[in-house]
Amino acid sequence: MPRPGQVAGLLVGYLFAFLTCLPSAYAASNSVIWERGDQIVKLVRQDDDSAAPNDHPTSMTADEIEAMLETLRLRYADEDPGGVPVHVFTQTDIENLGKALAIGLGRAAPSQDLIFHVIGARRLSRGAFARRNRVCAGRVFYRDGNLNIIFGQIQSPYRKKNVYGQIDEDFYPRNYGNRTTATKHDVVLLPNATASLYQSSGGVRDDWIVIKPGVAAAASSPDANPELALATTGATAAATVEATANTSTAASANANETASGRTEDASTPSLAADLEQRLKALKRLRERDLISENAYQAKMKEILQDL
Amino acid sequence: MTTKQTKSWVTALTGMIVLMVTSINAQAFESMKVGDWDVDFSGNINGFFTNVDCDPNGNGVVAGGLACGSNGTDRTVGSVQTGLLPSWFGFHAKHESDNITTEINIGFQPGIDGGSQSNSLDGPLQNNSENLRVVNLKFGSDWGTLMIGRDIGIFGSDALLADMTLLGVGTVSDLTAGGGNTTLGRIGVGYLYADWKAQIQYSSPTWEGFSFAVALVDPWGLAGLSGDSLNSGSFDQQADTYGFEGKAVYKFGGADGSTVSGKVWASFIRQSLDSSSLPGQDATGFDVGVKVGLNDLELVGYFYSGDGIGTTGFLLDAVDLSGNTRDSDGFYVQGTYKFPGAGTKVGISFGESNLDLAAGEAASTLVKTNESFIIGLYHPLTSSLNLVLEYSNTEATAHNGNSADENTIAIGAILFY
Repeated sequence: MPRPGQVAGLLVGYLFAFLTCLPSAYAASNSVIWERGDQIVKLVRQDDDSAAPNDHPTSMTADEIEAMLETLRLRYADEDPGGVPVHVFTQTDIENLGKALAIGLGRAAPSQDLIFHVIGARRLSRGAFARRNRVCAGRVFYRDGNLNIIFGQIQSPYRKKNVYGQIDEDFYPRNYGNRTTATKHDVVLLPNATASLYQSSGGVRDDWIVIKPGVAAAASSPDANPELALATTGATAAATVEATANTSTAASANANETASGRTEDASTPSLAADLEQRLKALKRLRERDLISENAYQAKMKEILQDL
Repeated sequence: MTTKQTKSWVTALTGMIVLMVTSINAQAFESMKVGDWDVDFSGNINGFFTNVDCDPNGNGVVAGGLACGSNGTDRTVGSVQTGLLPSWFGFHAKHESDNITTEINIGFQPGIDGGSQSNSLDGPLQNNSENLRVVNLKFGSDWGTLMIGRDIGIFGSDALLADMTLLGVGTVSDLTAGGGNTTLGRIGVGYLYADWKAQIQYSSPTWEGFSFAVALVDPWGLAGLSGDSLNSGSFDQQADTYGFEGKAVYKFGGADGSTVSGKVWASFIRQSLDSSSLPGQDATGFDVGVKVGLNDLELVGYFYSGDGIGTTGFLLDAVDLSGNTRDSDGFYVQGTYKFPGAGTKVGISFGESNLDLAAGEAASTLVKTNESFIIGLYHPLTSSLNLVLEYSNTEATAHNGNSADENTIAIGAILFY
C-alpha cells in the first residue's frame, strides 16, 4: 500500500498536470462578460477548429441586439402548427443578453464565440402568482453580416440537484449547442422577417438561427410592424421568410401569457406565404412526427382552402 | 430536535408542497418563482443492500478501527440501509431585492433503516433517527455571502464532495453495520468528516475562478471511539473558545465546454481545547486537494494533516488519556471514467487515515491506520436515478499489530428529485 511519500509523489503529479493546463484554463476562466446568480455570458473558443473565423470583434449596440432577440419566436412541438407562437426570451432575458452580448462581441477575437445561459420566469397560468423557471442556453457569433445563435437549450426546465446540501449541480447538463451536431429540441424555432434557420449543404439546422441586424432593428420598431411567417419552419424556411405586416410588438406579446406558461403572441399567419412552401413545411413537420396525422390533415385542408 | 418536532416540520413542509401543487397546477418539485421568491424542494432517497464480511484476522480488536475491528469476531452482516449520502428532504427559497440576495435552507435527512442493531453514536451519525443537518440563512451581494446557521463544515468538505462513493456506500464499519443513518464512504479512510456545524461563514465572490471562505464555528467536543482517548468530559469545549475554519479554492474550465476543468483547494481547521484539570491544547489541521477533469476522465488527489484533530471525525480519538494530543494525517486518490453515451461511470479509489501515538503513549490496540480500496460502478438510468454497484475492502491496523478486514458488496439505487 502507498505511504505518504508515494502519495506526495502522486499529488506532485497532479499538481504538474494542473500547472500544465493552467494557462489555457486561466484564459478560459478570464472571459466572463456577465454573471448573475446562475446566469452567464462568456467568451469561449470556437467549438469547431475547422470553422471559419468569426467577424469579431464587431460593434453592435445593446439596443440592436435586443431588437434582434425580441423578434425570436417558437412553437411547442406538440402543438398544432396553427397555434400561437411565443417569445423565445423573456423581456428580462433580452435586456440582460442585449447588454452583455454587445460588450462580448466588441471584445471577442475571430476564434471566439460567446456562450450564454439565462433563466427566465414564465407565469404558470394567466394571472397566476407562481411562475416557472426556464433555461435558454446557446452560442452566439457574428459572421458574414449576420448574428448567429445556436441553441443548446430552449426553455428547458431549470432544476438543481441537492447533493449533500449543495444545490449547484444541474439536473440536465448545460448545453450551449455546437456547429457540428444539431441539438434536438421540444420546441420549433420560427423563422421570421428578420431571422432565418441556418442552411448548409447538410440541410437546415432547426437549432441555429441567423439574424440580419439591420432588418431586425427596423422590424422591431413599432412603425415597421413586421409579421412572423408562421408554419414555415422546415427545409426551405431559411430562404423563404417574408416580411409582411400585421403583428404586435414584443412588449405586448410579453404581457400575454397562457395557462401553459407559454407566452402568447398576437401575430397572425402571413397571407402572402407561398402555399407550396407552407405545404412542404407542413409535410416536413409530419414526417418528423412533430404533429399528429389529424393536425396534419386539418392544417393541409386549411392551407389548400387558400387556393 | 425531538422526533415529535421533526414530524411537525415535515408535516408543515409537506402541507406547503401540497398547497402549491394543487393551487397552481404545477409539476411537483419543479423550481418555481412564487412572488419574488425562487422556491425549490430537492433531495434524494437512496437505499442499498449491503453484505459486510468481517474478518478480524484472529488477533484481537483494533480500537477505533473501521473494519469490524472493535468486535474482534469473524462474522457477516447483511443490511438494507442508506448509503453515504443521507436521504434528503430539502427546502430552499431565494429572493433578490436591491442587489441583496437572501436565502433560506432547511434540510431533513431521514434514514431508511429504523432499527439499531449495532453500535450507535450521538450526533449526526446516530442510528434510528431523522437528522436535521441544514438550517441556515444566507444573504449576500457583490461583496460576498454571509451564512448563519447549521451547514457542512469547511474543513474536509471538498474531499467528501469529490468522493465517488457519495452516491454509494463505501466503508460500512462497526459504526453502521446492521443499520444507521448513513455509511462512511471514505470518511475515516482518506479524510476527516466535515460534519454539520453551527457557524457564521463568510464566502467571497469568485474572482477569475478564485474564492475563499472563513467561518467561526460552534466549538466541537472531544470523543473517543477507541476507549483509549479522553472525551469531552475532560476538556470543556463550551468554555471561552471557538472553532475556526477556512479555505481557498481555484476553479478552472467547466461552463464553456473546455476539455480541462477542475479545482484546487486548501483549507484549515483550528480550535482550542480548554480544561480546568489539564493543560490546554490546540487542535490544528490543514488539507490540500486537486480535482481535474479531462473530458470524461476525472482524477482526485487529497491530503490532510493535523495535530489534535483526531481521525475519522474532528476530535475523535484526538487526545490520549494523559491529555496529550495525537498527530494524524491521511490521503486518498481516485480516478473515474464516464463512458460517453451511456453515461456509466466506473471508479477506483484508495485512501488511508493514520493516527499517531501521543508523546509518551504506549502502543496499544488503538487504531494506527484505517485504509480502504473501493471499486464502483454508477449508472444513470435517468437524469434522476442512478444504479450503484460497489465493492470495498477496508483494513484497520492497531499500534500493537492487531488488524481486521472488512469486505463489502453494496447494490442499490439513489433517486434525486
